[in-house]
Amino acid sequence: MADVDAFYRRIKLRLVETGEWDRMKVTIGPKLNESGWLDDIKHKGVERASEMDQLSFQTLFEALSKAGHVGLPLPARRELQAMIREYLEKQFE
Amino acid sequence: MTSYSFDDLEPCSHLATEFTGDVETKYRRVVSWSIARHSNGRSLPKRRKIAIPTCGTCNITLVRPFVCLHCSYSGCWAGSHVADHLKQSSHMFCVDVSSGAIFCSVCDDVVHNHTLDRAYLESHLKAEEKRTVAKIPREPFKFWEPLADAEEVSALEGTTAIPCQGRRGLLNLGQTCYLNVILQCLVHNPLLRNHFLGDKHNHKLCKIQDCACCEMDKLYIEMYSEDTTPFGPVSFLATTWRKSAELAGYAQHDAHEFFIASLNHIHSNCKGSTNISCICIIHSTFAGQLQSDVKCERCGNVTSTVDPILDVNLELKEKVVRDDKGNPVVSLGACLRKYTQPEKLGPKEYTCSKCGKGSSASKRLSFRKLPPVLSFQFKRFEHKGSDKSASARKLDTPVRIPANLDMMPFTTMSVKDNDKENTGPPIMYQYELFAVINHEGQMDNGHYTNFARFDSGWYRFDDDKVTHSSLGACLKSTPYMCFYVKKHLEYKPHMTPTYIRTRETEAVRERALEQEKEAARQKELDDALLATV
Repeated sequence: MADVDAFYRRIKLRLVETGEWDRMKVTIGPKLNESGWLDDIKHKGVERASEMDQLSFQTLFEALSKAGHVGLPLPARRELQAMIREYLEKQFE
Repeated sequence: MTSYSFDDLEPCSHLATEFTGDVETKYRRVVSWSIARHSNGRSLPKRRKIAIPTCGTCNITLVRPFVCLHCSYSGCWAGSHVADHLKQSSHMFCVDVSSGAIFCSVCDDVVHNHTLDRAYLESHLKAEEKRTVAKIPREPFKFWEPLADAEEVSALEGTTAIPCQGRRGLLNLGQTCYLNVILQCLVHNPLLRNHFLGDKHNHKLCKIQDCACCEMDKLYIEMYSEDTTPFGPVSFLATTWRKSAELAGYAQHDAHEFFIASLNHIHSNCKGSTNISCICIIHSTFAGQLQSDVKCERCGNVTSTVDPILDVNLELKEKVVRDDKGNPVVSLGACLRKYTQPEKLGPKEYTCSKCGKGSSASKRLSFRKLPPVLSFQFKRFEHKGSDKSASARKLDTPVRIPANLDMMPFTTMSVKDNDKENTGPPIMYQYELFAVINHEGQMDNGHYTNFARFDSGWYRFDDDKVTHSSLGACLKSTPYMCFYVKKHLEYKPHMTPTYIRTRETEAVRERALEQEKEAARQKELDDALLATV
């Protein structure tokens, strides 16, 4: 398990250093907005916040993170995974 | 556009007292740093590596750093790394670099107040200004300081502030829901609202007959008054009938047709309005430029034409994409991509000015100039024949519109593939949705309703009935028209408008002429007197 963690860290570092992370973000971001996912999260956030007696960022953050992951549109998820896979294959050529 | 929001019910008292001096300076530096380092996904020159912070607790590369405002620590939000640091070091604030949000460790929550908003906006915009090489000089951003200007201070003295939200219904005067929805969208348009509430066209001083600007002025006075009972826009309707015969009568009309007619009326009644690069409030708000590039397939010659537009009319693709649940959905983005995609012109439709003979060509539309307010209309009414009265069919295709729209990919610069390096700050291309018009029913017997936003609150308007709503409800509805406003406006350095300068030079010239006449008259008198002696 420690190996995987070390791998993950190295890959993450490379992705960010080379600007690949930013590039992927810029590709997927607009698609998440266009599919309505972003607005859905925003709307859910406003609804949850209006129901809370005591506003707490962490509570909202945890609830929305869960909802966000679950509701991630399939095409965007697949595309991002494909981009990561492609990058990894290039790294280990 | 960031509004002047009053502090919330339970502001973090620590923010009010501790967000000063070094803490505030570091905050601003962090925001500026975040702008300066963003490559925005553009390819880096010469495979240069970016220097990125790592978490002080777990050492992982920070893609979303939270920076302590009291020391050099930066860390992950996950696993409470940064929160724990703050507690252990008795440091109060940390900032989320990408959003500028501040977490207070004493309140154990993300906190916010107006001063923070200002600090974020100022440092963000200043950093972008530094990075931008502008071909046309722009006025550097400054917050409006009413207390700094003596003239404005005296003007504000003795005034009372009244609640001003424009949440007032409009009475249906007989199939006039088409008028009501457009009026609501104009009333909630921040630029128009500021212009008319700023007394830029006082109807009591105007002498023009059937003046559409006067009608707007009267409308704003009514809608932003303290009276919340539904208002009947009778004189607005009457003026419209007198100016546009085709819109007269109690039959149902098309809201979009009324929208364009109104814009033209108001423009024609504005002081200083011209037919070429007009600076009237309508053109300042809605006017954009569409560029059409036609490329000859044979010789590669490109002919470009630029057309002024007041709004964007989008076709609804019949072929729709299906979303996760299998429901057919078209997005605004997809409509815009279709609008700006290259279109083939056959040899019969095009003759190249360079190589002569009819050849096939490709035509492409793109946005050369984006207006502060973007209005979209979805072409939902399809006429079977060329005759307007022929049976028409309505396309009820649901369209997904975003609350935030980025128009960069549809601009001439993006589409032409060159000079992508200097497109300016991304915020220039970002818009926020503020109004949506819906139409239900068929072409001849339908009903218009609309949604509009004031600040962050969404409301639904159904003639005289106004109800609290939400962004979610608005986005779920089927839009016929929708309106977006730029997140941030840019200004050219201040210059007095030409018509005012001409007026002043005329006045000076007239005074000089008067003086000459006076002198001549005096001389005549003197000569006459001398003659009698």
